[in-house]
Amino acid sequence: MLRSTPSCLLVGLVLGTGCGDDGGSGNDEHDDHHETDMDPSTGTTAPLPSTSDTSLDDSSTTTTTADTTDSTGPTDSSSSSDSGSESSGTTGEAVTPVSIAFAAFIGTEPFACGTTYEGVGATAATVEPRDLRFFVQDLHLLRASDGEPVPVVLDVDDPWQAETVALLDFEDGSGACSEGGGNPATRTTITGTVPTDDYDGLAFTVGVPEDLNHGDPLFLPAPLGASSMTWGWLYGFKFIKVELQQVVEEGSAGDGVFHLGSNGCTGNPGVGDVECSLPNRAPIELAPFDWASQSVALDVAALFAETNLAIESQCHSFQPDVCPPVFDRTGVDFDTGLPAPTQVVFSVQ
Amino acid sequence: MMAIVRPMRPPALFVLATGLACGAPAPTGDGSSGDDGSTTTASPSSATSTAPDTTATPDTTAAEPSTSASESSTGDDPTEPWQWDLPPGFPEPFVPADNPMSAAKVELGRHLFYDTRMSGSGTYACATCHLQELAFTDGLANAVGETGQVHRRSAMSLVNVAYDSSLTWAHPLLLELERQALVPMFGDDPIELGLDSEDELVAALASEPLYAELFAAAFPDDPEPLTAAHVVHALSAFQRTMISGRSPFDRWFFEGDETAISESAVRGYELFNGHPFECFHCHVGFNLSDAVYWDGAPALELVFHNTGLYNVDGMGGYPPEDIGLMEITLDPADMGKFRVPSLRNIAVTAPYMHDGTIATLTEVLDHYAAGGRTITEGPHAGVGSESPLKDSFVGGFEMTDEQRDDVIAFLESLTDDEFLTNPALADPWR
Repeated sequence: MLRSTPSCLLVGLVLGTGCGDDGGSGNDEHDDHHETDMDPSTGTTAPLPSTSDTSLDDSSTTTTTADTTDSTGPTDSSSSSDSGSESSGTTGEAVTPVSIAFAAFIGTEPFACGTTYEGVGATAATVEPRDLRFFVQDLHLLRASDGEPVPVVLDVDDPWQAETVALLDFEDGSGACSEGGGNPATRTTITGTVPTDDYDGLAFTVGVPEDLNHGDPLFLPAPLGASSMTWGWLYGFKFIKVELQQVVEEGSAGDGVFHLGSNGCTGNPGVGDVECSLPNRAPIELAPFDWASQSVALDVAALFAETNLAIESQCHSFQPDVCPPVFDRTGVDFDTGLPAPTQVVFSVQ
Repeated sequence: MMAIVRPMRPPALFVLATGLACGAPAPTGDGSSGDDGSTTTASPSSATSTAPDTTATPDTTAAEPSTSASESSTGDDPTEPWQWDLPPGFPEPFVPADNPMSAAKVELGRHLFYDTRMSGSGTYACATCHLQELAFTDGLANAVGETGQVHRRSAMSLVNVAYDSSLTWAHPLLLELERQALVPMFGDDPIELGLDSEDELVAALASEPLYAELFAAAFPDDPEPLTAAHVVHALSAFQRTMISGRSPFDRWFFEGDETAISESAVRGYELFNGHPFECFHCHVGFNLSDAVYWDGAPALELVFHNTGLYNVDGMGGYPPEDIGLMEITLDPADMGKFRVPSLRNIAVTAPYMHDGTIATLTEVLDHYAAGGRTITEGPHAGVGSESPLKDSFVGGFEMTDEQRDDVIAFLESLTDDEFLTNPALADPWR
């Protein structure tokens, strides 16, 4: 059938608005597409964080050095994959498989759903975990000889790892974690390969790469499917989802929620051209770090140390009254979305 | 790895209009679009006195008769080309290339829309908050999610959602139903349907034997058709059939049925489209909204307006819990801006505004006549008419009670009973 002309319907009344075609046409700033960072020689990820937000070279923006004297945390034995094994990559260069272990704590105690923790947050609240999951991008080991960050080529491992992003999941769906979209599966390591060499440090970013963050979750590879980690409203993903709830005998309970994601996003999603004024990604650099014997520790108590968990303290990357301290402690400046030298959540165990 | 970006709307002109009220899609084809800004020229030239001049209907294509109000496709064969059955004056909706329409897909989407397996608790469906008889709203000021959480916003009408240039009350990136669906399905702030994973959803739906047949019919090329992506595609296809354009007003305007609407409604139509009411600047065209897009539209223009509903700080501020478009763009100029909703079936979608804070159409008109709402006490106190961020067309006007009644009569003439009772849009599980 013929198609009618819609704007003509209420003839006479659609007319004469005097400005129907203006409004700032030609929005040039959205024209540049994000290039996917590809290394043409290997088809693997390019080394450094994409685009504008961060640079691993700027060591002044990264912080926490390892506190190797703290012995309270367990050493995850899964990290000790055989550092001596080597295999050949497609380019003929010798590569070493690596397994980077992560461990989560609330203070000095291991993070576990269904467990109660005392003395957490600014008001020393008693809390129970509800969720802890996060994405890691731009994982590098630091070469011992010159400190150069060398990308870890991630194993593609459905449902946890794609080529450029890995999901870590410390909630097992038990206790209050059943309320946060939890499920029994957990994941505490990232596996991949690096060129065979000596490494004595680690760098990574909590986040989803920009070229994937705004894609349609229903068509993205795992671990980026539609889930509790999808952030439809911000047109991306939650980089990290941390939730605690206060445990009280009576009355109303508070909680601590931290959902970090890129914010201030605009552009033309029709051509995959979306940019965010607040990337909210920051590189974390930990050195010295021996990937074969040590693990990366995340302390939820350190994240919420300045947060009152006896009230509703929810930071969904918007709230100016709640977000600044948890952003700072994650190494992200709340006002600019850029890295800040204030990271205290991650350390070496 | 390449970024996976589904082809959506064409990358033609992409305008994020700010400021003026007049970002309506440029009128095309009628050759009479004035640009002098004179509002009086926009008064209805054709609808003088009581009788509509049907010769003033847009053009011959617009007057093409729509033969039937029944659902559009001719059969269940998904290979058969989809045929829209559009009301007069309506263009074809834009349909993403990767989700073409089919009768089988629409039928699957209808089952899903009304299915409580679509929620984490198994108690909520899309239709829980979008009721057909209320033009797919819920009659509440604030929507309530499956956990009982009360939302800050009012459930939107889904009438003619296929034509919305952007979705939800104010979002410049949610342009397609296929992406918007993820917000109510998987969002947790607020919790709407409360789903946690694709696997959870697929498992819940697989427990219903009927779906094996429905998914296979809708996605015949896929050996395992029950996927979350297909759920969203089918839901989107169904929603695109929620087209309303056969109200008494349309019978009067397009068919010259002088008995279709009252004399009061005709007067209201003239007021609506004239000076000094100026309603038509934003509520324009076939969908009575400037935020429309369709297949073949000259440009995708995203327009949002601040109507002076709040002025909590004397600087045009809205309550911090809902600052409209600015929440997404973080641009202070976008404070309090929202998308213009269609006015079709507006008489059945009370209460009004994004937060349901105006109970009746009478009060809505009072708000616009005052050039903005005044709240005298409480945390939201402020004089909206003095907002510096308010749209320039919300200037206020003198209005008699009779004039107000006339405009309401016009708005009531946009109620499309055929749409509100169309069995093709109704609950298939009953």
